[in-house]
Amino acid sequence: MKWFALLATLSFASFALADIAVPKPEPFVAPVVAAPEVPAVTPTPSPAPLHPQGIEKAMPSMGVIDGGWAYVYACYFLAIGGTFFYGLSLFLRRPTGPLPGAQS
Amino acid sequence: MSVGPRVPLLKAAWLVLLKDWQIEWRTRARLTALIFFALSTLLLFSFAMGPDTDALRRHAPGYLWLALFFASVLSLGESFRIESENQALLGLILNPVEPRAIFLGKVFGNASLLFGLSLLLLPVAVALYDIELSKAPGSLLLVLLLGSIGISAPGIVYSAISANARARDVMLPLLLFPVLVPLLLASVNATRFCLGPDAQNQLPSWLKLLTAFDLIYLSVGFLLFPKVAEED
Amino acid sequence: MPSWAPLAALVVVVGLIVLHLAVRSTRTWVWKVLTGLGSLMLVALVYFGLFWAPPEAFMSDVGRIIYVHVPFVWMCMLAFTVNVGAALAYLFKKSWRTDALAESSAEVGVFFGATGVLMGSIWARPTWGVWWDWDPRLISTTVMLLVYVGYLAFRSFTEDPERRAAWSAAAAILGYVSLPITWFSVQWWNSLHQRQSGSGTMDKPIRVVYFWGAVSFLTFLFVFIVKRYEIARARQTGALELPPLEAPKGQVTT
Repeated sequence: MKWFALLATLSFASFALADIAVPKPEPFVAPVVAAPEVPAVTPTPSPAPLHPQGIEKAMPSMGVIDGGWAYVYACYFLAIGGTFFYGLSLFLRRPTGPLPGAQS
Repeated sequence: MSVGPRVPLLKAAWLVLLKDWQIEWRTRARLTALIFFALSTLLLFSFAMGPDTDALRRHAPGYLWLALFFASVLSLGESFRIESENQALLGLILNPVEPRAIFLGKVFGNASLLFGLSLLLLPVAVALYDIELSKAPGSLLLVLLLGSIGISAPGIVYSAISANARARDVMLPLLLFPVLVPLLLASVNATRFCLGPDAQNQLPSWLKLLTAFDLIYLSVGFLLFPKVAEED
Repeated sequence: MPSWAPLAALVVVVGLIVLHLAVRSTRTWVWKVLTGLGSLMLVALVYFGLFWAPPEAFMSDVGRIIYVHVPFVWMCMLAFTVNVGAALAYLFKKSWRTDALAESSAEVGVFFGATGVLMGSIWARPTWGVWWDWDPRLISTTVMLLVYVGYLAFRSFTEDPERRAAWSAAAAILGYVSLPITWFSVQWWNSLHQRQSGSGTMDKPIRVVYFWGAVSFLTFLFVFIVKRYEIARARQTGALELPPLEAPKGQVTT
């Protein structure tokens, strides 16, 4: 009985939550974005010639952000470096001696 | 866990609540300290913002709730410290008192304390921040009550688990505050719409969110608390 | 993105973890194979993400960040789901294994989440012009991260292993319950005075690279969790059992 009441409470709570609908976002209009300040260290020229098809796809819309490769490289370095260093930290903390359960 | 006839859940919860009220009343000095802590937090916010009356009035709901949050950490921390000092919680559990009853009693004890504190803070907020209370007093009381329960329900569980940890004073806010983020959003916005204009009639939605928050954490805490109290 | 994809990823990771923990003969080689596979896929992801995939419609080249950013946040959420599953399992039936699994998945989740949020912040700079914005995804992910940082801190500040296990299981469940509420409330609060960041439909190559990134980080998620699990188990036995009378040289019992 108690548990049933609890379940009812929980489901009521979730209904109450579900009832509050998120207001509909405004119809999405492509924003006109100013070109971002790219740090001076921006390497490599924009590899536009590599993606004729892609650029063409991107062209019709307004507000396309241009450049910003430094940010992209930073993120990829972060991803690879983070994965590497966390793996390294796991390796350095590795247990020495027999694993638990190895004898059982 | 225990022998003998059990006291019915709600009655036991009521007894725990009475016991906590009694303890609060007998240690009035601590209660006074708590009140003055919350009051000085309000005062500090107004000092930090400077004498810009407009900005103060606009941000008054946020300051009010932050003062309550900070005070709640103190009161929640106390509420299990007094139990763990002389193994009193174990005594309660060994008595035919269900852990769930302890949970309910403690939650509502703390919520009543916070609610009373918020009632004390309101006139001070009027004086410091120049807010209007008369616009929707009923809804305002409801928001304060729901918010107090919402702080206490997860707070009691966290307080029970952090009472015996090292650095418990840091642990409780560290665990509690991230969980309370939705409550803070809901209660601050609801208070804002109680105090000021509510053009799009958003107050009912925030009240619903507050209610949902309370119900969810009351149920989850109700289910979890026996597991937590077992280890105490 | 099909709606069953997160579920499938969860099933794959949990299945691999269970396989690793239950079948002893797989313990020695599966993680090595997956590490190698993941590394190769990561290298390929760099090529696919940086050169092969076309620029994104609105964000152009900056959009390439999502191929690493989004998988990281997904992995973080998967790890936290594994964590709450282990916490629930612990509360139903006490076991040091599920406790260790909860600890390891929380730490791995915090690693993925912290890196993911950092990348999100870097990504926000060229797209929105600020390092930090009141975007609901950014805020709720950060709050989620705070919940689990608190969880890990709590674990390290509680000495008694049994209490730590039970209490942190309770903390994990309370924290996990808060995640959808936070997500919902922040989104709702935010939509009152900010535009929703629109997410258009994805082109096929973009979706493929997305999946590729998710799978390659999924292998790392598995490897990290099981390796961290072994550390946690070793610490538990160090704490639970008396140290040998003559400890081997160079071995530190904690």
